[in-house]
Amino acid sequence: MNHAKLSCKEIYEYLAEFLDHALPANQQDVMETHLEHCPCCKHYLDNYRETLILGKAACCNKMNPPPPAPDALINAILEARKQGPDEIPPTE
Amino acid sequence: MESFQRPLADPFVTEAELVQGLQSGDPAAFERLVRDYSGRLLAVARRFLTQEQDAQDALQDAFLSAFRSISRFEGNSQLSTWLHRIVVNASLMKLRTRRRKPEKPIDDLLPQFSGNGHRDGHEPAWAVTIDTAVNDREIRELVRTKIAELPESYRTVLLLRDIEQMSTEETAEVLELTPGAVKTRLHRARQALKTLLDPHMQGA
Ligand SMILES: [Zn+2]
Repeated sequence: MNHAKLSCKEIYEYLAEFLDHALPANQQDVMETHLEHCPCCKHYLDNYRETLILGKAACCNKMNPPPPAPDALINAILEARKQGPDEIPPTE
Repeated sequence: MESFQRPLADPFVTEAELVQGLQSGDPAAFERLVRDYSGRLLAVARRFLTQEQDAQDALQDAFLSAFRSISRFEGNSQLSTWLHRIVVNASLMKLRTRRRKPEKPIDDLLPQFSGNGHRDGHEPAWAVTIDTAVNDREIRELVRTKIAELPESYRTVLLLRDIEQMSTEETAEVLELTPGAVKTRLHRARQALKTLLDPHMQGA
């Protein structure tokens, strides 16, 4: 990372590490200074971070109680178990 | 008819009772397990496998694998956590073995820059606040749809890292990638998802 002249393109590349606080302190500072002065990068960072939060919320089973599996599938699984021992020898 | 003669009390109130039933080969325990867990586990498989039949196959593979190894379940983790991991593994296996469609390049979904490193076009702040978005069922559904639209090799990394909370190293191992490649793909996947959400989040 070139500390003196950090382009927006470079800022974009290090966003994941920046959010994880995984950059060396001086690089973290350079990023912060740039973000304070560059609305484009700041908005991108905010939207990127919100994308992460939304992704988690969208895939959270507690927030999105899944419907029951189709009965046909449940029955197929139970049926397959009954037939299982013939196909798969016990591991003992 | 035998089931009618069982005491009305639920024989599997606790997880330990259910595990004991499974380990002793009680068919009622297996049925209970499948009925109680298949909905949420199918939701997990569907995130990895966008074809419904693939997701259902992975769920079936996962349960059969769980039935075979239930004797080795020691209760160090919760049954749901253990099953969840088995479904993720079965889904990854299905992804590996199934005929792979050529992927759309992700570049179209990444921000573009001019020669001097400045962004082409500007980046407005999203108009919808994050609290509103998170609590909106339709937006959450939209996000799931957009995750499903990501190219498969990027979607898988996003799901393992951000949703399944696997470490970079663990993800690299199961996908046979370098940790560096996992980091790059995760960042690109998040960027692409952001691009796909932009038109819906920038308001009317
Ligand atoms: Zn900038």
